[in-house]
Amino acid sequence: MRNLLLFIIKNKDHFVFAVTVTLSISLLFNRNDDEMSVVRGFSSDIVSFLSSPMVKVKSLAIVSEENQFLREKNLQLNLQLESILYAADENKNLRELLDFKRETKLKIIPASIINKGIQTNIKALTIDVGSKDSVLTNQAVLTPYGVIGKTIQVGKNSAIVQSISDNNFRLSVRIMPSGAVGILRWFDSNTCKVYEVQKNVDVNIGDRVITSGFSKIYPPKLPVGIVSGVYDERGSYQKVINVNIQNDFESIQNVFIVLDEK
Amino acid sequence: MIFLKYTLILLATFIFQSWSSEFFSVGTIDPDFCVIILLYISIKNGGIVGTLFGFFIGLFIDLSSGTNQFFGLTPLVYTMTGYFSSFLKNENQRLNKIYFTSTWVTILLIQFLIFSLIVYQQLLIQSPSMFIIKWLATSFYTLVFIGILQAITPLYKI
Repeated sequence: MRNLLLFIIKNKDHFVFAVTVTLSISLLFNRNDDEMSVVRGFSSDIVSFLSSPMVKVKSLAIVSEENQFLREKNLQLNLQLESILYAADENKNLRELLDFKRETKLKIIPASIINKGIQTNIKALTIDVGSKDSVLTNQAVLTPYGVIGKTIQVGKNSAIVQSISDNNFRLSVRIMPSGAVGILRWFDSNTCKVYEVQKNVDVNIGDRVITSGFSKIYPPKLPVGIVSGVYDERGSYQKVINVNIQNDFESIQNVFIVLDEK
Repeated sequence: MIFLKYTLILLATFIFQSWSSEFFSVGTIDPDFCVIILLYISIKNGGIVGTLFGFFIGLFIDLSSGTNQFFGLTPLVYTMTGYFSSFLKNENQRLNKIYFTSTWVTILLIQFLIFSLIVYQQLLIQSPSMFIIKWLATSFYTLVFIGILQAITPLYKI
């Protein structure tokens, strides 16, 4: 026994090698044992516990880079979303214009607004059609929601439109279904007032306001707006009607010019 | 004391290996930093320390790889590397530099060969040339790092 111990001590390097190799081979051949699976599962838990700080440090190391990436991605997606929403709105508007052009009995041509407020003393719009497209002065300009003005100056490729929101703009209108007529002029943001309406006519909020047809410029029955208020004028035999204009002047991009009735 | 020292080295090596493997990974080839440390420890300290260190670091690596298909293989190859490289302890006085270096390079190549033969046995059957490329690429990639270390702390002089 002593000799064996001495032999082992003398050859301890080889003995340790033999033991560890035997252990390794034994582990290799018994790797699928149930007991081994339990040991490996347990060790896996320990290793994952030991590794968790490393994982956190690693994730902290990349968090700044990841944050930057996500911010860029977020910006890109926001821009894409804005672009899609803009395209959807534009698509809706163009569809409405197309439907209006199909349904109307007027001879109209489409135009795009290329400038707003070019003149200081008048509320005006510049459109991209002119005499080359048979546009003349004093022609009605409208959208599917209603009249927005008339042409006042016509160039070869462009024209200036006096807007309904200009203080000097007047329009002869008829209020339906009563048939009462009056003169419309701009008052405030998207609100016009109709004067010279007889007091005895029955006008209610929500009634439609259309062009009367008395003017040579505006054909009859063009939409103008919706009645939003009715007031009696003191000391007068007339009423004042508030009319809500359906057009949003800030966002109009496309209009039609009425050339003639078909 | 020596136990604590080598336990700390073992842990540091393991942490360094797990941290750096992603950074130094080239395709599917990773350098093996543990074997580099093992080589230094074996040549400096001899058989028992080298063999035990190889076995335990290998065991630690296999245990940390939860789904390791060949559990026990890493301790086996590391034990062999630790044991055989320990024969180079103090041999720098007897062997010249080229023989000395050739010996540990051969030990490493054999270690990677045994490892590859078992782990990539399917690849060996399907495409022997791919197997050889895989084996040599892994070996030489690790050897590059040992080569860099030779400029700082040569194995021949420890």
